[in-house]
Amino acid sequence: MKNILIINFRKFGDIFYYLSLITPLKQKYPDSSFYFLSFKETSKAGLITTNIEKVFEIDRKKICTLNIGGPFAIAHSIAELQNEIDQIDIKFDLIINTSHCHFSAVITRILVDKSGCQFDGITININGDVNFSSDWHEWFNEAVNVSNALPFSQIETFYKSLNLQYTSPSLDIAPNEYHQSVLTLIENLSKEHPSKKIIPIQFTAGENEKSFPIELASEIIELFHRSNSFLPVVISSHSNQDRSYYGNLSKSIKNDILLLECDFSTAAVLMKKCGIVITSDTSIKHLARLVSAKVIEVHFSEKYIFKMPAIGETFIICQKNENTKSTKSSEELFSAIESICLERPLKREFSFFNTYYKSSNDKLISLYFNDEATEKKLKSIQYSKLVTSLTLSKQSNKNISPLAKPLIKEYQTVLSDILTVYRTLIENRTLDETFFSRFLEADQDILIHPFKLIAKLRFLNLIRSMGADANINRRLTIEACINLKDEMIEIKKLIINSVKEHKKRINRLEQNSI
Amino acid sequence: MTSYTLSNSSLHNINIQISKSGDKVPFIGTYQLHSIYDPIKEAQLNLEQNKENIQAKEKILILGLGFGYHVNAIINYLKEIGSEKSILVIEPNEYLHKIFLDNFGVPNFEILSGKSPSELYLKNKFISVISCSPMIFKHQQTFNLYPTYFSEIFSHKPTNSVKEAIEIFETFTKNNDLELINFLKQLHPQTHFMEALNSGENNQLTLYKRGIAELARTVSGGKI
Repeated sequence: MKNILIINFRKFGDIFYYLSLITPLKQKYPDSSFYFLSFKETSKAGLITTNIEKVFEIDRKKICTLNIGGPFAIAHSIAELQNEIDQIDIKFDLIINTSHCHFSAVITRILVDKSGCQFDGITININGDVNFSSDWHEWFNEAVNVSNALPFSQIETFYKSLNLQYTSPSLDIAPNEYHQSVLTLIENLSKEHPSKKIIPIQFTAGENEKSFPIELASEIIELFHRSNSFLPVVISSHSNQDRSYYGNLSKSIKNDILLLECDFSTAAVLMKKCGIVITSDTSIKHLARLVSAKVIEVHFSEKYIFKMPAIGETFIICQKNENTKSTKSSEELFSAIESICLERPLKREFSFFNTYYKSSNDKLISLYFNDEATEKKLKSIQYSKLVTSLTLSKQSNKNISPLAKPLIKEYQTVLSDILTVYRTLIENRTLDETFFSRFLEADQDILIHPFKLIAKLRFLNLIRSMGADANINRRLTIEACINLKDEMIEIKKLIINSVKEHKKRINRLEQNSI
Repeated sequence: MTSYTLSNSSLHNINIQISKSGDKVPFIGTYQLHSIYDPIKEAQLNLEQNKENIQAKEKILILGLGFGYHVNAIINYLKEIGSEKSILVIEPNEYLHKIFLDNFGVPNFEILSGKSPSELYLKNKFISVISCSPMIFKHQQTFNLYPTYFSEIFSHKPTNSVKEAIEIFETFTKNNDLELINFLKQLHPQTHFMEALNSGENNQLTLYKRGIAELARTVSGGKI
């Protein structure tokens, strides 16, 4: 029996994304019990499944109020944090920190010390330096996670690091009083409209700019009504923002819409029953995957290229430009949705939606349609993902093309250098704070400072210059690797010299004092 | 206790009169704490002016107990709208609290009475309410009687000494961490707590301090 704690201090979408780890973890450790820790405001995400024994929370608003000073003593906030951590009264065997932030690293350290257990992800040592559970996390944090150009998904680092086998996530949803009425409603609708497929749709997202424009949503609803194949069920959260959006939407459509105001767990039950969802919202996307529902995500943002698919079968349709008011744009989008829902071949005449791809966990992204620039960028990401993955898995001799072998070998050397330099930096951190302050000044927000800036520049240039030709990409990657390696070696020399000088200074001071 | 407008002897000089509506009204000396005509109606009128704020906040801090007519009005209103909120009443006069209990029995809300502002900041109940930006409801007659007391609650300045930190850890942490408290007890009581935090001699304390700093950074706009 293993007690496993999953920590995530991010938002709902991220939490649902990482809760999908429970299924492969259960497969690896069949008798385990799962626990979850988050901030108070997102802790209800952990309550949606009965696969989690207990949800713990940290009330960051309360702690931060106590920390502002004024009438509160410094000890108040510390005592409160200690109190909240004391309530986590389970002895864990494994703690998985799925948040890539310093706060989660500190909490992981405290809990790991308390339970005397193993961890996965990041933590810190007593000097505040970050410790990684494996090279996968080190690489992910240091060199790969730059400028959002993620060559492989965040969750893959946990699959690799924990040595898990991919399993389609399937969590048991905690029952509540609304589930039965939703299920009955869907069954009745199915009886009334036996030839129609019921499709849950969520048009809104946490941020307004990511929601469907009202005109587009209204046209899509009309197209659904005209179709003989579908019956749309619109899902909404309880937020005022959603209520106002759907109020406006209902005014702009001729037909009635079936609108269900759901909490997360009811939405999960609905999506599981229907087996599919269309959404523009990240939380619903990842929640759908927890119940193995197929996801069609429609994405309205300029950063479409780096959109992270949900784990498992996800289709992503990205808007090309702001011209979504045209009727043609809704027809085009509806045609894509129709093809995916009915599992028909996709048409390739998109003009308003430039990227259209399918992702599944065990394969790379399959690109169905896009413009040339998007294709170029996506292919370069796939390429980078493949090489990085093989390098970290140390699988350079397994079924890969002869062309890629020397590149992977080169990557392995570079990776080894990067990790060595990084460890040198961490080990000597306390010896010369001045040196590190240069990195700290450079970018306060970067979690681990030294390599991100360099790697960011190198990889951005690399991606920009890549094309569809594998040979050219290979050559460019090798050049970038060599440059990166040279820079790492320079930094290493700088560190060593800096440490030597520091030691000399200390010796001189000691001799003078004698 | 902090100096009040009235002398201590006046604080004990409490008598009860019956209002025209037939309800009990406490007087401190000659100062009445509720309407002598209809204290329940008066409480209802006060409530009407505060309904929106009461709904908006999770917790309610009531300054002044009197005979609790205003508190009951709030509780009844919350029942009406099907809302459950935590209510804490602060009453400077412990003797009034005693008379209230003698006349009405144990109420279904919490009261902290006769505590100085510094003592309040060592009470878990008070900290858990005040740290959640509660709705602050003044019982105007009590507030007028003890203006210095109430203003001192909100302008309270912690000493941030090791002595104060020990009191806080002993009071607030459920599983009193003896290692931590013993470490603090080795230091001079007047040492600034920040010095203890920076000494790096108690690893756990250093980790908690770091945790708080990181949390504050995420809230002030850094990465979560």
